[in-house]
Amino acid sequence: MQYRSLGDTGVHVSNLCLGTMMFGGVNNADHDDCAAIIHTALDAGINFVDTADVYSAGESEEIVGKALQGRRDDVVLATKFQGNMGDERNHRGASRRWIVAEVENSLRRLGTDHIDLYQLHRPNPGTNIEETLAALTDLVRQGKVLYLGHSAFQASQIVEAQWAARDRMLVRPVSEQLSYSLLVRTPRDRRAAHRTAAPHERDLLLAAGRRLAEREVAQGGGGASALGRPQAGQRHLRDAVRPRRPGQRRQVRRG
Amino acid sequence: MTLVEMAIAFVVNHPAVTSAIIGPRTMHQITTQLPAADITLSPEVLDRIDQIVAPGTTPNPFDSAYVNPALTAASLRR
Repeated sequence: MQYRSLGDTGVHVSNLCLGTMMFGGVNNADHDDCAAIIHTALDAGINFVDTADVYSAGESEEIVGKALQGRRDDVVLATKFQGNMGDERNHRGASRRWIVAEVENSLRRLGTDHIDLYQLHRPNPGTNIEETLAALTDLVRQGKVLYLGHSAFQASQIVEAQWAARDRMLVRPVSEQLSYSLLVRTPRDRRAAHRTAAPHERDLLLAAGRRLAEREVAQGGGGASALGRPQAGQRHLRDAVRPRRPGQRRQVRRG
Repeated sequence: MTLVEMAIAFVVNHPAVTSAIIGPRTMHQITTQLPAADITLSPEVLDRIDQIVAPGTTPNPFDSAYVNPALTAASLRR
């Protein structure tokens, strides 16, 4: 196992991250078996575990929380919000109203007092990114969340989030999780052209992984990538988000 | 090197990737995935992969896990 800094946070994570979408519900309803898989991963050196509130409607978070009892401090624990958590129309999304409620639900299911990496599961076009980042920044200041991330963002959305965080003195996201694998080599939109840090992947492990599994070969991998590891000859994302000069008008239009 | 190991190593070996997310459902799957963490793919293997799945392409669009919502509702384009 190798370890790399999650973006430029200085937090070292294993180069394999344990995704937990297959735990609970129709995938693997045997909680003891799921816990054994988690412990096998930790014993092999994996210190990075990723879940989400929507995975089996919270059941995955509960399985992870239970399995990490006694080992919580050894793990960089990531989860997400934004997906539908019921029929109530506001029990989803990226609004402050839902974020402050759902973080408490995730903390309870995970049996912990803080989330290491809290991720916006999908872009939410109907919510101003400043609203989302402001609510998440409050969670960081409360100590409930340590770092912010997002998933399935286009390059332009990554840059906009960085810009908004700088513009409004909010906590900036440090990671993006995206689909990238042998079978999905399309950088979402012009992400590559922007030369941000790009490819991560994760949900895709589903699609690609299942296809491989169907062929009796188990699953392939997804990838999580963090902002802040520029390639040789590439600009660092932060260099692409230049601060405005005093009096300079913001040039990004929201559409 | 198994196909599973190659698939995961392909992601891990990308210099912009910090960590590849594996999603095991069974104990068998996790034990076959773990060795990939320490595998480095040779330039020859990477070139061969590029011949089969060209960089920047997704052979099956259904493998893309996310569709821009703006593309799903016709009313957003009318």
